[in-house]
Amino acid sequence: MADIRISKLVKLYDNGYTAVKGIDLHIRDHEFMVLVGPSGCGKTTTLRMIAGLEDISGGEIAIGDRVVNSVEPKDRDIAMVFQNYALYPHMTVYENMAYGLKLRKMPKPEIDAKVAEAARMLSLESQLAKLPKALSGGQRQRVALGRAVVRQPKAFLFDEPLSNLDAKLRGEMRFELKTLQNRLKTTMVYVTHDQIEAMTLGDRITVMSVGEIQQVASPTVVYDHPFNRFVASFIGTPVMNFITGALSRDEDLFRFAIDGGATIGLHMHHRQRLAATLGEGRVLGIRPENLSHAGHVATAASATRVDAKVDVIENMGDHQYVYLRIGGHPDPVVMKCSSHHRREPGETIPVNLDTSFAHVFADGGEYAPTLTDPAGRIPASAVGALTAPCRSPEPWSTSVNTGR
Amino acid sequence: MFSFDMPEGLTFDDVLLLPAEADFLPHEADVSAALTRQIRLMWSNYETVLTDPNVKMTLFAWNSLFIAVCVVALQVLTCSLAAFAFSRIEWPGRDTIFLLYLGTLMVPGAVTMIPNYLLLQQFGWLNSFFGLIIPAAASAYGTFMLRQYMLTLPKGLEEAARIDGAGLLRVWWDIVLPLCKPAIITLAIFTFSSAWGAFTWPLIIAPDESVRVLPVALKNFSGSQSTAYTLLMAASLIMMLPMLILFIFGQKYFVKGIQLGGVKG
Repeated sequence: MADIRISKLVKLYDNGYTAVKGIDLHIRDHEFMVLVGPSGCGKTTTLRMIAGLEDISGGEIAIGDRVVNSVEPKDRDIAMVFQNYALYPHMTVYENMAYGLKLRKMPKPEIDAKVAEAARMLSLESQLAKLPKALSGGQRQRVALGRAVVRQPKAFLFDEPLSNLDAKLRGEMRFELKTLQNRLKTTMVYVTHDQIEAMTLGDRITVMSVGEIQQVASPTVVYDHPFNRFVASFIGTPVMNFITGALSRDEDLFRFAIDGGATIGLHMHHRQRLAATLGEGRVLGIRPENLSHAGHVATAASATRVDAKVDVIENMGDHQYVYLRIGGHPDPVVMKCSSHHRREPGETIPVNLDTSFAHVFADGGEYAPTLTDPAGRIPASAVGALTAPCRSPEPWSTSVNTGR
Repeated sequence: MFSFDMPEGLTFDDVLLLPAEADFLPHEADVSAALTRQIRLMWSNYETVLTDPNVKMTLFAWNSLFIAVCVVALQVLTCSLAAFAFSRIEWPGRDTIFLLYLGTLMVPGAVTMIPNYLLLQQFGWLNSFFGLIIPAAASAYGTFMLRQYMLTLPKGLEEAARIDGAGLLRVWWDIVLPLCKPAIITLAIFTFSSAWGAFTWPLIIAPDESVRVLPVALKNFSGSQSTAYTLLMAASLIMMLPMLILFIFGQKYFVKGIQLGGVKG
C-alpha cells in the first residue's frame, strides 16, 4: 500500500515530440485514480512511466517513500493490467497467474493457495488448466486481473483494460473492478478514454489533454464544475452545449444574448465572477439534461424559456436526444428528455434552459477557463487574459483537487 | 569466318560422340558391364556399407550426427539471443549493426574459406570437432529469421513479464523462446540439413578418419581407378534417410521458414 507522487514529469521522445509536459500529481494511498483524456493526451505514457516501461525524460516519480525513476519495473512492486490482456499464450491460466510468484521464489503450496484464492474471487476456478486461447475476452481479462491480484502489489496500474470488451461485458467488468477495489483497498491508477468508466470507477479523475493535466477532482466536481471548456466538453454524454453570445448586466440580473437568437436571463448559483466578465464573445455552457420541453416538466425558477426548432431526434429507448435550433445560432443544441412525448422534426417547441447549472466560458478556444467557478479557483491572470488559452501545468492545475 | 575441316574417316556423328567416348574410355569395362548386367536390388550392399570394418560408415554417421546436433543447438542458442537483442532490446546503433551483420550474408563462403582455415590452424583446431562445429555456431541468416519472427510478438507480453519480475534473460527464456517455437524448429531443420550435408569445409578442415563426416566419406567409394557405385548408392540412400524423415515430419516448418525469411542462401 502506497501513495504515488509525480512531480514535474516530462516525457520527450527522440523525434522531439513531448508526450507529457511537466505534470504534477499526487495519487493517495488506497485511492482509485482515473487518468482520462483523448488519444495522444499522454495518459498512457504517464502510466507506463509509473510502471517503469518508459524512461523518464524529466521530473520524478515516487511510489511510497521511494523515488523510482531508475528502478526496474520488477522492483517497483506494482502490477499492471494491459489493454490486450498480455497473457502468456503458452502458459495455462494457473501458470499465468503463478508466474510472478514463481519468479519471486515463493514456495509452491503458497503459490497454489494464492492462485486458488484469486481464482475464486474472479470465478476462474474451472478455467485454471486452460490455455488463454480457450477463454472468452471477459475471462481473459479476469485472468489478467488475477495475475495482478495474486502478487498483492503496492499499486495496480490499468491501461484501458476494458476497451477490447463489448458494451455488456464492459459493464460487468466495471462492477467487478469496483468490487475488487473495495475488497483490496489498494492504490489503483486506471487509464481510459471512456468517460463513463472514469465517472463510475474513479475516486478522483485526472483529465488530461496535450500532455498536460486539465483538472484533478472527484467525478462529481469534474462534472459539475469543469475547470475549463475542454473538461466541460470531454466529460458528459452527450457533450455540453456551447452557445456563443454576449454577457450583459441589468442591475442584479445577468443577461446572455444568444448569437442570432433571444436574450435569456442567467440564474446561476455561483455568479460572483460574472460581473468582471461582461462583454461580447462569451460562451454559455449548458448540459443537455438542463434543457427541457416547457410544459412537459415542471419549470424551475431559474429556467428561461426560448422557442426552438426541432432538427433531429435520436431515440435511445428510455430517453431521447433532440437537436434544436435556437434562432439563428450557428450550432444546434441538444436536449436530453424523456422519449414518452412525441416530437417531430421541423416542429417549433418551447424549451426551458435551466441556467442554475450553466457555466460561462471566455471565448478563448478549447481551453478557455470557466468564469463561473464557485470556489474562485481561477487565477486572476487567467481571468485577465480572457482570450488566451488556459492550460496546465500551472500551479492551480493540481491544487484544485477536491477529492473525497 | 569460322571454318572447320573434318578429319578424314570421321563422320559428324563421331564428332558428337567423341567427348562421351573420351570420358568413358578409362572406365570402358565398368560402363559396358553396367550396361549389360541385369539390374537387381542387392540388400547386401546396405549390409556391407553398415557393417564392413573398412567402410566405417557408423563412425562417420555418428560424427555427422554429433556435429549436426551441436551446430543446431549452438545456432538456436546464439541466433535466438542475437535476434532477441536485435528485436526486443533498445541500444544505440542497434539497427546499423544488424544491417552490417546481415551484410555478411552477401560474402560468398569461398572468400572466407582460406582466412578461416588459417585462423583455425592457429587455434590448433584442424582435424577436430571444434573446427567443424564452432565456425557454424552462429549464422546471420538464422538471426535474421528469428528476429523477423520476434518482431511479430506483442510487446505487451514482454512488458507483462518484466512487471511480473522477470529480467531480460528470463523474458528471453520463459516468454520469447517458447513463443518462437515455430521459427526455432524451422531454423533447426534448415541448420540440420545444411550441417548434415556439408562437404567442402569438412573436407578441407578435417580429412582425418576420426572426425570424418558422411559426405566426405562417400567420396571414398570413388577411387582414381574405379567407383564402387553399388556401395556409393547404398551409402547415399542411408545418408538421405534422416533428411527424408526430418522433411516428412517438419515440412510445414520448411514452408513457414521460406515464408519467414526467404529462401536460405
